[in-house]
Amino acid sequence: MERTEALLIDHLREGDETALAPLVEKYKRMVHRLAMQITKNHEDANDVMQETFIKVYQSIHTFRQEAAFETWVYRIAVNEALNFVKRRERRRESSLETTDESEFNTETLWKAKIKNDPEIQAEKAELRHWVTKAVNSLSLKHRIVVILHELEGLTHAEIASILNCSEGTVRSRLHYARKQLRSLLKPYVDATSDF
Amino acid sequence: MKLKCNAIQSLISDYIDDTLNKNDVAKVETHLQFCTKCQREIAAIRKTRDLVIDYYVEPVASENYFHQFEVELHRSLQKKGPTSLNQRLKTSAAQFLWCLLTQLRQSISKYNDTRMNTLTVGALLLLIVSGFVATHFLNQEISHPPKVYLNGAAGGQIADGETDIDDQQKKSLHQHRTNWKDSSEVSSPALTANVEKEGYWRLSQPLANDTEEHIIFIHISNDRSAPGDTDSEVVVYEEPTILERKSPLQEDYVALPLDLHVDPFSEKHPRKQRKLSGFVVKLIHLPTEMLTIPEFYDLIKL
Repeated sequence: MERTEALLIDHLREGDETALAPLVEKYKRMVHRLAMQITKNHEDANDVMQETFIKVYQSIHTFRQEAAFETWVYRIAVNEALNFVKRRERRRESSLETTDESEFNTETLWKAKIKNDPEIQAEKAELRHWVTKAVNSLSLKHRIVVILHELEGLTHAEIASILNCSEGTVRSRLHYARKQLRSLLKPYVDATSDF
Repeated sequence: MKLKCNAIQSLISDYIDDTLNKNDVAKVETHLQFCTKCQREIAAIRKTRDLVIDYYVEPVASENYFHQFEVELHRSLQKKGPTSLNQRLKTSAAQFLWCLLTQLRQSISKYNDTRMNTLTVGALLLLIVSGFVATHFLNQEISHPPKVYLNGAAGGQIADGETDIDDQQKKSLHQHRTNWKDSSEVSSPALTANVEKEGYWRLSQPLANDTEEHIIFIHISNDRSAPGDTDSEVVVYEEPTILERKSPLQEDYVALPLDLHVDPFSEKHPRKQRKLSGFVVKLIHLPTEMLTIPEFYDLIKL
């Protein structure tokens, strides 16, 4: 008998640990995608995923159903990923590391994805590469807003709730990020005049 | 009133996303009728947004990666367990009350016939309770971490470190279950030889709809000479008036106590369903995933 999400949440809150597995199954790809986009490498994303679902399990009693469960999971995942990146940067500063390993990993990862995808072998491969690179080159706070709004399809209000900031801040960051992207992708934006 | 280009800038993103109110939309569109610079700006940003949506390559991971992640998560959760206050309090309170009542009952029955005066009895009880409280909370963290089962991860396997049963018992119990599943013959459960401990199988789902929310006891006699299982029975009780026989760790679960002598309870409590035969067949055909890791409790400690 398949349990609905609301029922799974109730059961998890009552201490039924078996209710966690279906929720993990449903949200693991979303959390991974988000964690990858913020941390930029699989190992770190894996740690973020672990911490996210452990927190979901341990803090389920704090979920009051005022927001959607999905938004609540988003919030935990984003916060965990941001904390992870901050800790990583602090470690890097303290160890005087100069190379950006995550940048390198990202580059190789996305290149590998492009290389392995037969569809991307076509003429749009270059465009995909540069668009992806442009998004990944944004500062963290601007990249998160772009990911949540353009790619995950969340509203300004939902993003504000996840990032614990005002909707005005979300709008402002989104606008700035779009202008940055426009500048980075100028050759491609100017090349077409279909509007 | 016509807006200047600077004023339009702050509205562009919302205009593109269709999240502006009607009044602001009208202002922007009025401005755009006369300003080609802003028209180009909006067109370029809209094009940029579309490029990102259409051409951004999202990160992906293999099924193997997710499988590995789930295994690690299961391991992490087993180590950490629930730390939410209400879950910990609930478990601790249930365990504490269970043990307290058992100790009191034992103490009272033990000293009931003696001529000890009230003061002595009181002091003794206080000593027992305080000693118990101290050991209980020390032991809880070390010996009985909350258990977590993910779908399929338990799968009827007997996991190391889950119980206080020794390896020999694990092997014999596992062998016993394997025999039941592989053969239609009924073998003598090795577990029943240990009269001081009870094994509880936890059901990951009810046996049938009509048994949901009920406690299911399977009574297995030690005498297994006749495989006709007439000496055994499945008894389904109304939920759950038999709290004193339930494990404090399993208050929300249906349990299958093995080798439980149900006679005292069958006299007191109404049975919802009783089958004097055929239960062994039912147990043999029980899907493995329905039985999770067995837990063992020392009756003397409880």
